[in-house]
Amino acid sequence: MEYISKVTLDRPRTLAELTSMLIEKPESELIAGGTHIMSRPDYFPKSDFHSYISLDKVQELHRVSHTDKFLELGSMQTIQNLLNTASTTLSPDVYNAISRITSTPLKSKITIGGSLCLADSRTTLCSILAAVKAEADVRFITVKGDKKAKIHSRWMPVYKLYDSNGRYLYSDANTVLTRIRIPSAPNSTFIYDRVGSITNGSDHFVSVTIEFTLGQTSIITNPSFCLSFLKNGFYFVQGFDSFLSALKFPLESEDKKKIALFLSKHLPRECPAITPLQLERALRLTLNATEKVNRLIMDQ
Amino acid sequence: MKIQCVIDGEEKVLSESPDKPLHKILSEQVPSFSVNNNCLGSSCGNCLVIVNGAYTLACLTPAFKLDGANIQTYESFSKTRLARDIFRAYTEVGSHPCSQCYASKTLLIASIVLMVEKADELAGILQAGRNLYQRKSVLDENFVKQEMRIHKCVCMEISHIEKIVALVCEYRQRSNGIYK
Repeated sequence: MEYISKVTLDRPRTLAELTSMLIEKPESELIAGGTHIMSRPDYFPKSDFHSYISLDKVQELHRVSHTDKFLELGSMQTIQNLLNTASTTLSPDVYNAISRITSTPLKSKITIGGSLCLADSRTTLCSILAAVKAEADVRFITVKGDKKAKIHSRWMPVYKLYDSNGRYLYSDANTVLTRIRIPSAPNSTFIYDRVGSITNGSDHFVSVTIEFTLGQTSIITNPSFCLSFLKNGFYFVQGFDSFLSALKFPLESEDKKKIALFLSKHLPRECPAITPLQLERALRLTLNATEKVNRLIMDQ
Repeated sequence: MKIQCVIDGEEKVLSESPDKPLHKILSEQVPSFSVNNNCLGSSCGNCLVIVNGAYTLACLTPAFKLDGANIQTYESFSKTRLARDIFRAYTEVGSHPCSQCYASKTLLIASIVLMVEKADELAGILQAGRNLYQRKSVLDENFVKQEMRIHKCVCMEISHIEKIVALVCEYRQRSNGIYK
C-alpha cells in the first residue's frame, strides 16, 4: 500500500551538515535511536506534516576514544556499545548496573544521547552517569538576524542537564548533545538499586545511585548521590553529599534516622511532583543503600 | 521513500513513508506475521524479529533504517536448526509458550542461547555438560529473567526458560557448534 508521506526526513553525515539543517529547519525533531519517539501513541500515521532529522549517519556522534583518565563516547553510541567498550574502564558495579537497565534487544537500540536528552523522563542511565560524575558536551547554535550561526560547545556535568523536576534543560532545537565523558574510577564503590519498571509505565519508579571512595578511616570521600523519579523528579544535591561525607561509617541507627529526616524534609521541597509512594520508596532505598555501605565497611 | 531489503530471503523493493514502523510493513508483506503487536514499545515483545543478525523489536524500527537490511521473521527462523533445538527442548522440559507469543518467545529464547554461547566463548569455558547455573561466573544469575523482561506475556516460568536455554546450549555443544 502506498502512502502520501506527511514526513520529511534528513540524514546529515557530519556535524556541520547537522548544524546547517538545524538552522534551516528549526521545527525539526531529532531522532537518535528512535525508541522514545516511536513509542508515542501518535507516532504513526501522522495527521499533519512533520520533519525529522535522523542522527544515525553523523560520523562524529559515533566516535569512541579512551585515555587513562576517561572514556569518551559519541552520543549516538548505544547502551550495548557502551557496555562492550567500557568493560575494562568502568568499575564492575557500574558495569552491572548499566547491564541491568533493560534487555539486550533494547540496549542495542537505545542511544546514550537519546536517553540523556529525553525532555521529561529521567531514566536509569541518567542517574548512573550523574553519579559517576560523567560529563556531557553540549553544542549550542545561535543565529542572530542575518549573521552567520555562532556555535560554541560546553562540557557540563550530567546532573546539570536537568532541573529538580527531571526536565531536560536544553531541549530546544538549537542544542545538540554530542559526546559523553565517563571518568575512569576503578577504586570507587558504586551502589545502585531501583523499584518499579520504566517500560511498563510505572508512575512510582524510583532509583538510587551512590558512588564514593572508601577512606581508610571509615569515612567515605568524594560521594555522589542521585535519586531518579522518572517523570516526577531528579535529585542530585551536593548538600546531601557533604552530609554523607560528614558521617562516620558504619552508621548507627541514630545516623540512619538523620538521613531519613534529611531526605523526608528536603525531597518534597526539591522535587514537589513526586508521589508519597515515591518518597517512601526513596527513603527505604537510601537506607538500604547505606546498609550496604555499612556491610562493605565491616567486611573490609 | 524507496527501500530495498530482503525479507525472509526474498528481495523486496518497497515504497514506504520513512517513519513507518517495521511491524506495520511486515504485517503487509509477510502473511503469517503476527499483527497482535501494537503496543508501541511498551514491551509486549510480540514483534521480535532479526534485522541484520540482531534481535530487535519491529515496532521500534523505522522504515528509513531498513534500506539494504536483511530481515528474518519467525517464518524463516522456524526452519533453522536452532529453532528445532528449541522445539525439542520445549518437549523435554514439558513447557512451551502460549499461541499468542510462541513466535516471539522462541526468537527471544534463541537470542538468549546465542548470548550464553558468546559469553561462554569469551570466558573460554566451552565445555560439554556445563549447565546454566555453573555458568554463573560469566552471566549474572538474573540474566535470563532480565532478558525476558522485554516480553510481557508470562505464560512460561523463568525456571523453565532457564532449563530450555541450558538444554539447547547442551544440544548445540554436542553438535560441536556446527549448526551455528
